[in-house]
Amino acid sequence: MSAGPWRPAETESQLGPEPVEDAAEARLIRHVRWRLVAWSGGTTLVVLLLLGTAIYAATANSLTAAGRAQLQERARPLRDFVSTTRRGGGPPPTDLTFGATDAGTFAFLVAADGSVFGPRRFDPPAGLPDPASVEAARAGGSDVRETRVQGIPVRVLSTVALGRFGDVVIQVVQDRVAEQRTLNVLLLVLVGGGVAAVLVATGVGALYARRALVPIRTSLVAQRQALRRQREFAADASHELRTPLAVVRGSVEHLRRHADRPVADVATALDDIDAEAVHLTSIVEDLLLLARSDSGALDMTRLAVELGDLTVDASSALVTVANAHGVRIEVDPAPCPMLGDPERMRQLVTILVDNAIKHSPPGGTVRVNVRAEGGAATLVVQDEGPGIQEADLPRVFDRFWRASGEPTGGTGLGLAIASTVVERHGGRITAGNVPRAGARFTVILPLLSAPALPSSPAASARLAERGGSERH
Amino acid sequence: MHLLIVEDEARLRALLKRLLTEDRHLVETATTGEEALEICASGLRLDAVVLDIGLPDVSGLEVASRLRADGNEVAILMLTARDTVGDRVNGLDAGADDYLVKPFAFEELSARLRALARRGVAPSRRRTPSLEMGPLSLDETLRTVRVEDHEVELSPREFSLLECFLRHPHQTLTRDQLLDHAWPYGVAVTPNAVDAYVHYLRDKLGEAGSLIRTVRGVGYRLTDA
Repeated sequence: MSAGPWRPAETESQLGPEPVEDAAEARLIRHVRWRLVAWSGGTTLVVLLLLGTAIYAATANSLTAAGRAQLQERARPLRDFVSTTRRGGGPPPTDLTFGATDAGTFAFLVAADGSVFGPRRFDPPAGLPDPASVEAARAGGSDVRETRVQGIPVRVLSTVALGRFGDVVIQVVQDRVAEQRTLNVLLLVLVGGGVAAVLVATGVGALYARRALVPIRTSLVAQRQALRRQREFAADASHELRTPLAVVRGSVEHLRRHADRPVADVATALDDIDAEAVHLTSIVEDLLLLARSDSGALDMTRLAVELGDLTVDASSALVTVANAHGVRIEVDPAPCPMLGDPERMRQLVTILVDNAIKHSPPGGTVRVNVRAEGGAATLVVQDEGPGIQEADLPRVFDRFWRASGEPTGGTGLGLAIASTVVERHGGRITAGNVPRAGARFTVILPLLSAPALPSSPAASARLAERGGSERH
Repeated sequence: MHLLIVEDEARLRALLKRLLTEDRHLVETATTGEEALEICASGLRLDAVVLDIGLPDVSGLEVASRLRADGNEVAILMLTARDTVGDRVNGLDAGADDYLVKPFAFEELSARLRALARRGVAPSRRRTPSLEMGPLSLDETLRTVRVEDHEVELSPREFSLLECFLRHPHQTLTRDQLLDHAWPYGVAVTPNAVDAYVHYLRDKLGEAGSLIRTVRGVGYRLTDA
C-alpha cells in the first residue's frame, strides 16, 4: 500500500455508489437541487404562460376579425337596399340567412324617427337592436362591438346609411356562441396542458438535478477527505517538531541557569542543541518535499539515469554509516537505463539502504539488487533484521509511521518520501518479509528501453519467487 | 582513472571529489593517513593517489614512505601549502611522483594526473592524449569516447571500464581486477555485475565491442590481435 496525494475519481462516466456527505454538505446539495428544480419549473411556467397567452390572443383576434368581416358582408346588401330603395321595393333583407358566408346573421334597420324594421320570420331576443351600438353609430358613423344579449354572446355592427327619409342605422347581429365555445375549449386546453407541462418539467428537472449533482457531491466528499488528511499531516508534523524544539529550549534554559558553569557542561548543552537543530532541519526538509509533492509543485527532471550505477554510488556513500553499525553492504547491479530525476532516485536508494542498515544487527548484511526484467527495472533492498509485522505491512509507507518499540531516530518520513518518489516516476514500491531473514523492499520502475541483456529462465524464476512472498 | 584523494580539509576534499567525478574519474576519499593506507592495502586498484602532506594523524610524507616500503608502486601526487625547496625535495624523496603547491588550478591537477597515468605505458603511446585501439578512441582531456568518427554516450561506469581496458591493452583482466579498477571501495559488488556491464558496454560500442574478448573462466581482454 503506498501513500500519495489524493486524486479525484472520474465520475463523468461512472455513476457509482452514491457519495456520502456530511450534514452541511447535504444541506448545500439539497438547496442547490431545489433551486435547480424551481428554476426549471419556473422557466417552463413563464414560457408556457407567454406562449399560451399569445396563442389565445391570436386565435381570439383571428376569430374576431373573421366575424367582423362577415358582418360587413352582411351589411352591404342592406346598405344597397337603404340607399337605392324605390317605392314598391321588397322588404329589407333583415332575416337570418343560410348557406352563404354571412349565415347565422340577421339585421335591423333603425329609422331616424326610431322605428325599427327587424327580422320577420322569428322574434329576435329582447334587447336588440342594441341601443348603445345604434347611438355610437349615429355619433361616429359606424360601430362594431361584442356584447351579450339575454346572456347570449353576440357581435353587432351598426352603420349609418343615407336613405330617402333620413339616416338609417343598419345593425347586423351575429351569433357568437360557437366562437365563444371554441375559445373556451382552447383556454381549457392551454391551461390544462400548461399545468401538466409544468408538472412534468418540474418532475423531470428534479430527477436530472439529482443525477447532475453527483459529480459535484463526489468532488465535495473527496475534497473534504483530502483536507482532513492534510490537517492530520499538519498535526502529526507539528507534533514531530515539538519534541526536538523542547530539547532545544530545555538546553537553552539550562545554559541560562548555569551561566557560571565550566565550558564542559556548556558544551554538552550546545551539542544537544546542535543535534536537535540538525534533526529539525531534516524533518523540515522532508516535510517540504512531501508538501510540495502533494500540491503538485515538486519539479522532477527527466534525465537519463542508470539505476545500477546510481545504486552502487548511493550505497557506497553509506559505507561509513554501515561500518558504524557493523553492517556489510552487498550490491548486485545490472545496467538499467531509465528516465528520472537523478537526485530523487539517489535519495530513494539512500533511504532504503539506510533503513536496511539501521534495522540490521551487527555482522549482518544488507543486500541490494538491481535487475532489468521485462521492460521494468527492479530494485530490491533486503536486510537481516527483525522484519515487518504482518499487520503493519499496509501502513509502512504512511507518513510518520514507526514500528512499535522503534527508536524515534530519523524523521519518520523516509519511506513516505520513498513511496512518493517511486510513484512520481511511474513505479511501484512494495514491502514484504524474507522467510527466515528480514524485511525486503521491492521497487519496480519503467525502463527507458529494452535492456541489452537477454532475459533468462533464471530471471523469470526469481521474479516468480519474489511475487509469492510479498504484500502491498 | 581510479583515484584516491587523501585530504583532511572537508571542503577541498568534497570539491576535488566532485570535479574529478564530473570528469568521469572514479574517486575514493580518505580523511586521515591511516585510512589512506588501509584503502591502499585493500587490494583496490588505483591509478593515482592525491596526497596532502598536512594530515591530522601522520604526515603525508610518512604515508608515501610506508606505501613505497610496502611495495606499492601506485602514482602519488603530493599536495602541500608549503613551497620551499626543502619541502619539495622531502616529498619527492619520500616517494611522491609529482608535487603541487596549494592553491592550484584544477586543470593543472588534471593534467598532472594524466601525465602520471601515462607513465606505466609504452613510450610510443605517450604522444597522443588519447587511448586508442582499432576504431576505439578515448580522449583523456575531453573525457569522451569515439568509435570511428562518431561519439558514443557512455555512463561513468562504462567509461571507467573502457578506460581500464585501454590502459591495459591485450591483457586479460579478471572480474575482480575489473571490479577493483572500476567500482568504488566499500561496497561489496558481486562479480556478476562485471559480466552485465561488460556485455552492456559491448552492445553500446557496436561492432567495436567485439574487441573486448571473453576469456572463459578468467575474465576479459581488449585486443585487436
